[in-house]
Amino acid sequence: MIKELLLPLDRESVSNLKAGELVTLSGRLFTGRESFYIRAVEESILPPLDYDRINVMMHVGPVIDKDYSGWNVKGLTPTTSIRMEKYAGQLIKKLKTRALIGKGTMGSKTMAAMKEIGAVHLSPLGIYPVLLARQIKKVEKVYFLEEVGPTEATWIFNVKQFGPFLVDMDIYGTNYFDRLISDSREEMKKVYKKYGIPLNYKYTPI
Amino acid sequence: MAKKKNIISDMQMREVLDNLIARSVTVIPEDVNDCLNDILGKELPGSMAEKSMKATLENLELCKRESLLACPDTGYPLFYFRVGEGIFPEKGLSSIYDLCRCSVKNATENNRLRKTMVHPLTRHNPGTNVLQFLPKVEIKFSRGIDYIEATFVPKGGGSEIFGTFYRMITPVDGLKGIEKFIIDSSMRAMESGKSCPPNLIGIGIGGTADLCMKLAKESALLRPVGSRHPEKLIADMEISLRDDINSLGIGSMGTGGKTSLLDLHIEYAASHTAALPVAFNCQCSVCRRATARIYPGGIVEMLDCPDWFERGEI
Repeated sequence: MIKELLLPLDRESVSNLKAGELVTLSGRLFTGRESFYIRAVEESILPPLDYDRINVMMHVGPVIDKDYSGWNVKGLTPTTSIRMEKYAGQLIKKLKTRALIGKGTMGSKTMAAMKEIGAVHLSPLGIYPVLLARQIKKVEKVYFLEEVGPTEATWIFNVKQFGPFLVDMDIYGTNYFDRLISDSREEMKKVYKKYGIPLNYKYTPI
Repeated sequence: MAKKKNIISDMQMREVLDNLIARSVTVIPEDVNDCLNDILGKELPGSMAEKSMKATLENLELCKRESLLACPDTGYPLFYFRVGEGIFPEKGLSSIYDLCRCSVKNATENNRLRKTMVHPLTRHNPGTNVLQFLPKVEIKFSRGIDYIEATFVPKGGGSEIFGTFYRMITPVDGLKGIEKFIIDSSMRAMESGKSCPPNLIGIGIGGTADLCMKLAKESALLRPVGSRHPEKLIADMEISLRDDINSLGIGSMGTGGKTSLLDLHIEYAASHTAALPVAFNCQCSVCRRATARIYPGGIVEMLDCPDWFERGEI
């Protein structure tokens, strides 16, 4: 079952989400990646948005072009969130962001911030950029296009049943990938054994 | 006049390169597509990994049908040429570099390539994907062929950023050290889907650091899925490590599942007697590449993969 969420997200709808669930989103969200965080945290430059009303951020660099009718997104798929780990926690605390969308998952700093303010991380199930592009009903605005170019710019998208995305971090501190990774690490021990690699193997220092 | 038929016109060179880029970003190679379908077939019905593979394959089908980008991260623009004997581009061999830059610029203007490449320090994005040393153009001169073989690979960031490792091992750590490096690197690259698995892993062993990494990259990018190294020692390692890394259960985009790899390829070069370097570089699940052979007289053959290692396997 896929849960349909309406944006902006409130604390209650976020607290109903559990790691491992699938969701779609409808409403307005904003985008950003490295340049967004660097500018926001190091230079205190933020797009002038009402962050209570637009509180979902997607880590993404869309392929986008402009014609007589306006901007058209040709394809977009979330970029890997862990690269944003250094600054994401402090920024979502400041902006009260309720959801980050990005590939993979994030680390302990972001998890702590998410527990504190009530936010989740959502990741794509596979690679489906065309499907996602077609769920964007309108490109409403763009910030910093001149300064950082279209791939790093902050876009405001109005989306409808955008997804599906997997809730991989919930507000209760559960990370969906943790169990999978620890299962794989258990399997790894068997593989080591097959190759005669001791668990405490150390490379000869050089 | 007789010689002229071995000269490929500048216009045709341009046309072929433009087509290569357009094809590589929209239609994934058949060997890759077949393998992804096999992987889907093996996943448990209803599992997250099955849903993941299904979503990815549906998107690929749509992209092929409607000529859309298989993945918006068109990444690093990489060209690989094999140039045969007695065949020349009209404006000389050195014109290949300019032709590549020109076709990347055009493709970026036409939104076939995303504006991805920036200055490493200023982070300035000129919006062309043509910057210092990129696109990368690798040219090999080949005996015994009478054509120019051009390959374009748009190499995505996920697999490059999270799927690149190098280690200098001492010969006393030997094969076990190599195997541990490959297993550990696979886990680090693929967990939670960072490198966009199922991946095609390339391993380089031996050589200098740059040659070692070059072999890792080229074995991931330029050998077809299912191809084996001609030497049994290496081929057996490829199969055994591939199967054992699959058994880790990382699965499509890290969602868990039976298959995490499209394949695992190993290439080696001679090593210094005191050294044992090993490199890891992987390609993502959409594994984009497109190849064209231009023959004397201008006949063009489109392929999914070059015969980069010249084993006649294509």
